[in-house]
Formats: sequence, C-alpha cells, structure tokens
Amino acid sequence: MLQILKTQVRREFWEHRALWMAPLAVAALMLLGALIGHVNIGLAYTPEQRKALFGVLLWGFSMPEYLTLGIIMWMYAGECLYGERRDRSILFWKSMPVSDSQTVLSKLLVACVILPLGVYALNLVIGLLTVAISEARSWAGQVPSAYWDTATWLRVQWMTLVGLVAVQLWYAPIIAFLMMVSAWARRNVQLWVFLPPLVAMVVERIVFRTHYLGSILTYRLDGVFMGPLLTVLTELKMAPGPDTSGTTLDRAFAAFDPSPAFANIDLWLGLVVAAVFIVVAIRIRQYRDDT
Amino acid sequence: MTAVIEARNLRKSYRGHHALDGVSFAVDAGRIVGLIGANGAGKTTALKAILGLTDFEGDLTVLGRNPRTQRDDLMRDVCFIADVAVLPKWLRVSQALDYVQGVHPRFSRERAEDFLRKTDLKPASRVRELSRGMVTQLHLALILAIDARLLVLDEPTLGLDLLYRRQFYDILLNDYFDKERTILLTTHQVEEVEHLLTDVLFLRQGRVTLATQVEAIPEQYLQLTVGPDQVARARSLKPFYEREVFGRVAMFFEGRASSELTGLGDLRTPSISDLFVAKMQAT
Repeated sequence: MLQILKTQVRREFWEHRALWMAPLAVAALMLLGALIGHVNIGLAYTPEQRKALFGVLLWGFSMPEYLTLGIIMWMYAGECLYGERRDRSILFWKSMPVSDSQTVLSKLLVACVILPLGVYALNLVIGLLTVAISEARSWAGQVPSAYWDTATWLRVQWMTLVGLVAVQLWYAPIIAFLMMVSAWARRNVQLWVFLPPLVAMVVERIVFRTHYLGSILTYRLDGVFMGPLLTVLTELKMAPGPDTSGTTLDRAFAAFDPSPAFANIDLWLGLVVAAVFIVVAIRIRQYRDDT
Repeated sequence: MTAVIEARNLRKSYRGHHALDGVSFAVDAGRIVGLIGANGAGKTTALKAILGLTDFEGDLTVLGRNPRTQRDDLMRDVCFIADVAVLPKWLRVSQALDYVQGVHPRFSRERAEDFLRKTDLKPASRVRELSRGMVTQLHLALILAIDARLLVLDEPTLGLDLLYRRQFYDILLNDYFDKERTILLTTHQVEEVEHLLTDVLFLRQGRVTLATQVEAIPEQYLQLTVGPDQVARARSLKPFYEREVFGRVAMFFEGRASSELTGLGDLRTPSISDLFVAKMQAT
C-alpha cells in the first residue's frame, strides 16, 4: 500500500515536471537577486523596528514561491485527472492493480501536502542562503552586514508553516473542485471550472436578485489573504519613523497570525465539501475510460 | 476446466445504439481466444467490460471477480495492451520499469530487462522519441514480465509494420503462453492470428454469431468450391453463404457431413477469415 502510494507520487512528479521545475526556477531567480541586489535594514530604525522589518522581509521574500505554488497547484489540480484521458494513457494506468481511490488520493496528496511542504522547505533554504550570500558579500565589502535575529526567524518560519496549513485547508475545496472537473470534463477543464459558477451567479442575480453564491465564492477565494494583507500594508506604512508603541513586531505578528483561521467553522465545513468533491472525482474515474 | 471469463447477457448501449446486445460466452483457462468482428461490432466494448473499464448490464465474472467493483484486485492477474500508444509520451523506459515494479506485485524487473536488452530501447528514452514498434516492444516487455493469468489484447499490432507484428505474436506464443494462461485478443488482421487461436468468438452488431473451438470447425463448417455445372446441385444443399471466385463458386455449409458434399467440387475446411466473411455477409 505504502509502496503503491510512493510510486504513484513519483509518477506525478515525472509527468508534471512543472511541480518541481517551477519552484526551483523561482528559487534560482531569488538567489540571483541575492547575489546582485541588496536590502538594507538601516540603522535609522529602532532595534524593535529592525526586527519587525526583518520578519516582514522574510515573509515578503517567500511570496514569489508561494505565488508560484498557488499557480502550479491550480494548474496541476485541473490537469491531473484530465491529461490521462486526453493522451489515452488511462488505459495503461487502469491496467495496473491500482484502485481509483489510490490514484485520486495520491494526486490530492501531491497537490495539498507534498507540494506545499516541498515549497516550504525550499523557501526555508532560500531564506538561509540569501542571508548567507549577503553576509559573504558584506565580508567582501560590497554591502553592509546582513541583519539576523534567530528568534524572529524561528517565529516567522513557524507562523508561515501554520499559515500554510491554514491556507491549504481553506483552499482544499477549490483544489478538490478542480480535480473533480478534471476527472469529468471531456475538454477545456478550465472553462468548466469557471463557467458553471459564473452562469449560476448570473442566473441567481436575474431570478432571485441576490448574490449569495458570489459572496460565498469571494469569501472562499480571498478569505485568508485579504485581512492580513491589508493589515501588513498599514504596518509597512507605519514602519519607518519613530516607533511610538514599541510593539511593532508584535502587531505585525498579530496581523499575520493564522491561528484564528482554525477557529473558523467555515474552514472545517469547507473540508467536508472538499471530501464530497474528492469522492465524486473517484466515482467519476471509476467509470471513465479513454473516451 | 474452470472458466476464466463467464459473461451472461451483457448489454450496453451508446445513445440508442446497442454496442452489446445480449452477449453470452465463456472462456476457459489455457485458451487463446480471438474476438473477431467488424468495426463497431462491440469487440472493444466487450473487452472494456471484461477489464472493468466500462459500465454494462448483465452478469460478468472474470477470474472469479466482478470487474466493475474489483478492477484493481483483478488487475493483479490480468494484463492488458490496448492498441498501441497508450503509454504516455512523457514516460521514460526506466520510469516505466520503476512504476510497474512499484505497483505490481507479480512484476519481475529482471525479466523485463532481459527482454529489453534484445531491443534497441535505452533506459533514458522517452516514449515520444520511440517508433510505434518500439513502444509496443516496451509495453510487451512490461507485460511479459508480469506473471498474469489472463492477457487481453485489443488490436495490439495496429499500425505496426509486418516485422514487428510477426515478432509480437512469436514472442507471445513462445515466451508467454502456457497452459496456465489465457489470452483474449481482438484484431482486424484475422489471417495473422488464425494459426495461433484455439477458440473464436464472432461478434456482429453486438451479438455473438459464432463461438467455437478451432478444432471443432471442421466438424461444423465446410467450404465447397464448385464449377458452374455443379452449382445447382450444391445450392440445393443450402449453403449459408456463397461467393464467386475466378468463375467458380465457393459455398459455405453449416452442419453438413462431408460425405454429402464429396464429389461436387473441392472440399475443405474454411479458414477462420473466410468463415468470418461468410458469417458476416450471410443474411
């Protein structure tokens, strides 16, 4: 069982090379940036502000990777059960003693666990390498010495990890929906992802003059990001200049703190919906051949 | 003998068209069965039903299992080659070996590698770089290395040139087939497989028109080729099909003793392909 799962996961990375190539390419760009550019956490700030800025920068530098993660997850989830029918290889995969549940769940595992954790680990390494490169360059006299604060670094890593888990759980229904459409659509998966909700929204608007569906979808789509993002923008505006409260760091962390997301019942309800989509995807794959 | 496949009254329609219209048959262990029919006769649908790839009505048992609900378990004992090119284009030869080794409990990597050594396939080659013939060799290498009880082939040599086709069937007979194993295959090129079949199953418009052991054909069917002078007499014995060949008439009889027909012309057992044409054309 474990052997099958392991093989299935390897298979996904063979087929969908963007899963590992895209994050590595972005990593290479980030490191190139570290080699030629530099960020100076100036002396004009109070020690407390510098710590906060360091934390925010760590977070900010991880954004390109997480944005990439979002894009490849979306594309992968839409492709993973459709591609095998388009190239008819489903006839080969189905000639192997691997059940439809094992197949679909291994793809879900790749999209929602292995890929995010991989990107997280990669980000961690890039972050350390970036600091190391800056430090090396400061010895060469190119840039001022890199700023480092272990406690802040650990705090940011921990919060990123918790945040990542929260984001994964929050968006699980979307990934599951993409996989379901991927298993079902005969062509144009992305069209089938957008069209039905869009049509449903328009119909709701015309018939009932309401927009509940739209609200639900918007809520689900930006629910995690918007709050913290707005807060952090405000924080950044406040960052330079004299620190009046002396707790910039704590306020920044409070803004990012993902733990309230776990207390949100909608997160757990979303998981139920995701489970339904996945069960449907498995059922659909059971009766699907190459047509 | 135990039946490897038992099908009773299989039905399947696509938009009002009956792909399978009450098909019943049984396949015993150790046989090589040819499922023969024109395009759209329901061959592929029947195979897909057996492999658990499609829905149907009726009763079907394959190696004691229900293919609809136990496909993954069934596939431990069943191998399947659909017409060429179902191996994904991105797959490397080495990855194909790794994959099957990882998921199939009855796969012997050494056997597959032994076979591949006799070909020009390189471990790093991707399927998209290979010719059709080479892809089939790769698929065959995987299948031959699996200790399965039933092998299902759907037009396995479609689009291959003669050399690869000949090689394919030679390997199948010499390296694969034994009394424990059963092969079920469909093909358009009946001539090419008729010497290796032990049983034939003719399908026409979703129905079985003939199911017989090849050994039993001489007892049931006769082909009589007569000159113009004997046509009337021969015809009175009610052939189910006749056609003209170079001014003479070939007539096909079912259930006639050869003693009834001797003396009228050249009498012989029809080949499977001739019998197929006769059965399909007969109204």
